[in-house]
Amino acid sequence: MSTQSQILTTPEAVEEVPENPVSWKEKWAPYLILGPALIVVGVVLIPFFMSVYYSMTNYRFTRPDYSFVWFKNYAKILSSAAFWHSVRVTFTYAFIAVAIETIFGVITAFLLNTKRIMAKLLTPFLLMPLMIAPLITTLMWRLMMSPEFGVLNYFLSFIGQREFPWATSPDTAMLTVLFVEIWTFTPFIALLVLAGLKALPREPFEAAEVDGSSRWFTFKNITLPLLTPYIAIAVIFRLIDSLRQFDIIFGLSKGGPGDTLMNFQVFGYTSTFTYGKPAEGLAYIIVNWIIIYVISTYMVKYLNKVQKRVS
Amino acid sequence: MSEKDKNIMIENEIVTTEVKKKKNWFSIIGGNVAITAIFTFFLFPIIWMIGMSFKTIDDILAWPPKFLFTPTLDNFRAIIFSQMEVSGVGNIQIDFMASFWHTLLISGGAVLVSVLLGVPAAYAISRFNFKGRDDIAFTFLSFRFGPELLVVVPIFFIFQRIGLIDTYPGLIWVYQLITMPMIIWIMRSYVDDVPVDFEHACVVDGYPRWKAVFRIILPVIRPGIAASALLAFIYAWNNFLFALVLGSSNTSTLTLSAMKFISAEALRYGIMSAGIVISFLPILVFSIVAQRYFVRGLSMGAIKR
Amino acid sequence: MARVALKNVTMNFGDVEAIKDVTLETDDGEFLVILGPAGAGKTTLLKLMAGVYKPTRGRVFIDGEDVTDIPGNKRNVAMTFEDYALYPTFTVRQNMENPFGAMEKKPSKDEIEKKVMEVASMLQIDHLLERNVDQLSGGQKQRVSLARSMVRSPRYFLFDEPLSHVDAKIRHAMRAELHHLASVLSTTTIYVTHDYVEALSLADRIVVLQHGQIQQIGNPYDIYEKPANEFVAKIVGQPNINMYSCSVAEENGKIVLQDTDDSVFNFAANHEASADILKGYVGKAVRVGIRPQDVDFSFEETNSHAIKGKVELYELWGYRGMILVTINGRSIRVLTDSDVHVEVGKDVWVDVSQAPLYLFDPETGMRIE
Repeated sequence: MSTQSQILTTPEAVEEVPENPVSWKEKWAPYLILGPALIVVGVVLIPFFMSVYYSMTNYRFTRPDYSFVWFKNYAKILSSAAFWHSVRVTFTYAFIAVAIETIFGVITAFLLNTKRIMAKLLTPFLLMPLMIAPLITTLMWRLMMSPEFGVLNYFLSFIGQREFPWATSPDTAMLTVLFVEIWTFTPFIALLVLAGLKALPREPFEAAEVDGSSRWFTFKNITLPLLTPYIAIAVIFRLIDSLRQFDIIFGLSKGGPGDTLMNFQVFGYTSTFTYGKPAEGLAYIIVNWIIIYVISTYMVKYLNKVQKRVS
Repeated sequence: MSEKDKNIMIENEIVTTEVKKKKNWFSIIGGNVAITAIFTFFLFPIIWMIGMSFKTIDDILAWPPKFLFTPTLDNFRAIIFSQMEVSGVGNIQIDFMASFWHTLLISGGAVLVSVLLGVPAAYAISRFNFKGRDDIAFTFLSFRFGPELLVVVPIFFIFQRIGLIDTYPGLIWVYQLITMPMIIWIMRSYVDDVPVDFEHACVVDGYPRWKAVFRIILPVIRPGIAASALLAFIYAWNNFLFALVLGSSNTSTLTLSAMKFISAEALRYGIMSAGIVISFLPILVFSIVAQRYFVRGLSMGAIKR
Repeated sequence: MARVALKNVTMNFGDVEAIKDVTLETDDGEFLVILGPAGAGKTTLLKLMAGVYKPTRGRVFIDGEDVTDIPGNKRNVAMTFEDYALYPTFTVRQNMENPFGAMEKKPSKDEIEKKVMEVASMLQIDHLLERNVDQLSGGQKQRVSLARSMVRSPRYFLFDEPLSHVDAKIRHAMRAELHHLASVLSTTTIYVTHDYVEALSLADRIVVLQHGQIQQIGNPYDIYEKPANEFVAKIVGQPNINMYSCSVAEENGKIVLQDTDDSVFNFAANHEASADILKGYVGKAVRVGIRPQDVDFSFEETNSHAIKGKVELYELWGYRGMILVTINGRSIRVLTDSDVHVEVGKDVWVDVSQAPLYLFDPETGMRIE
């Protein structure tokens, strides 16, 4: 065979060759496969748009024929003290909870990332608080927080606080609900960070050791940066979830006493079903949702970015 | 540095032993104590609760609380075999074991639907590069992050009109908002891990593409399906809000029934504890068994152990 | 036995152009090697031939028949993959039996068993048949992968870098085995590699591929001695060919090549054939390639053409070695025998005046002849 040389082609030459037709099946295959899942879930989205519609009416359970009031509900909400109060509650709750969970969780993860006996024995149980239904958890804690027979009050009696009111007093309600949230969700962060610690490559640490770096230096400049994506993922999940916490607060006191713990989902529920004013309740929820949607979208985009670093 | 010291250092990572000296006993004991303290914090309430469910009502109400007591099965007998009344606001019958079945069937049904529809969807998202892929994937993810109330209130009205309130199909459908995103995102990460070459090799062997997927890919991702199904099941089981708004006596889940308990009078605390324990015990057992896979699930596929 | 042909095939994945307007045709029973660096598109090309991918543009033919629209499972080809793609939930035997399950007219159990044993013993894996795939070593996996493709009688074989993950020591022996197999079976084989030694030793013809485009198709001799462009010249040969940008001048009837930067490395082109070509390029710039084995050197000044330089680096690879010589900032690689005593930092004189020159146009990169 003699040598055949290929003259390198030009884009024009490439395009002279006609494109091969793609069969209808090939083109639509992914959409067809996805279709059922999308439809099932997508149909549930229609109510979302209905929400927006209803929120611009004055629909009440006691007044089923309603009329359009456009943005009157929204105006009312934005100028009501109750709304701003609930915004405060929502954000206070979320940020304090996540901050404490993160610190506590990261410390726990470090402690468990060793070969100590207790670590190996007990790590499998770390999941447990997380796996119980938050509502059930709350009821569980309520039983332990009774001033008459609750075991927690028993412990507190040693420091003279047997009558600690927990969720019945406005002063201690937030503390109580934060306590339950932190107990339930710290393991989430601890587990994710622990997975991260175990997945860290050995080489940087060995190199640092050979270089004679101090422990603090290694921690600050190697461990922490490598761990950050994992912590970030955990924090993003927790933040988004705690901003819309319902079960724990509702289970503990239905938002009370009064409106001390009315974060936005609890308040939204109460407006709609307890006070029977779904239109206002919806408007309220939508406003809150917009706030949280903006935050969540940023976080989820960041999540996607961070996820690539971790894989 | 000797081989032994180096091994100790690598194994014990950051916060622990000194590298060039001998083992630091203080650090080891301190660490173990700290870990024990932390786990006492996390596990005590669960253990206490289990204990409470075996106590007689007198033991429960005793002060100081009893750490040692004679266990009794009365609470469990009462709750499993007879219906319970809650006095207070009228007499509400709470058939607790019925709740157990409701929860089981609804959660199981929801997960089944999600697996049947979601695994193919996850495959499509992973393997095909089509227009709108990232948007669709993001849409599924956003369901996990959206506020349920926003969707649940209008669904309440619609369901009322079409008679889906308090029905199994209604709840199973709405539960897809919880279970489907999890299955899709977790399974997507599992499918991503399987090299496409497996399917290509099977095609070259003579099988059409879809058969190749069933023959080769499915067995490989089976553990992933099991793990994600389990995690989705747990989240469905634990749900409260959907059941609260859209369910009632015919579909009263465990969470709903438990909430009704809480207004019970003192005499019912023992039975309540038994109810609570029955609510969470199956889940705890499952999670110990399958927990290896949960990190991937909890982070929606972002972190692979 | 089959002639496989691609005509003007282009393959796009979304916006990425993996294969650009490739046309090639194999001969019946030929052993064709596709040679190229990572990312060149070699695997994609194989998969186009296998029918796993359908080309965005262009057509695929087998024995003259247009098979572009025929899906891969109906083309009756066999392929091995770089990472073996052994089905992880199947045993070795089940892997090998997999193709039979897809056949319309399945052979009887006995026939299947016979074939499996035949191939297994030929590849010396008969003792591994019941093992799980994850218990095998790399070399064993490679054989199983081969076995799976050989239990059928495919029209042609496609091998995707079968030896790249095999131990260096075993590679040589395996290469011989593969060659033997291919000739025994006399089936058209298309073999992908990035290793030019494999290409040169196994191929009837070589297709050099880069960035999805064919650079050259030819037999090993042509690829080595008459590279179509600089890329092909560089890809074959170790150490790499030395390349310089020079301008051509004439002095006293002889051609002299002057280094375009700072005139540091000037040398006479006395090799007759090369000089003849260069006569047509006086006053112009060319790219000049000199193979390391064509460089004469000595540690004493021998003749007027020798250029003085310094030994920068010396590598000994067993029976051969390489000296990296620096001359006024330029470097040249020189191939040596193992019995030469070389000291780093010492002066050395290189003489390239007799070396056959590989000449390339500086703009197009194509060889000048």
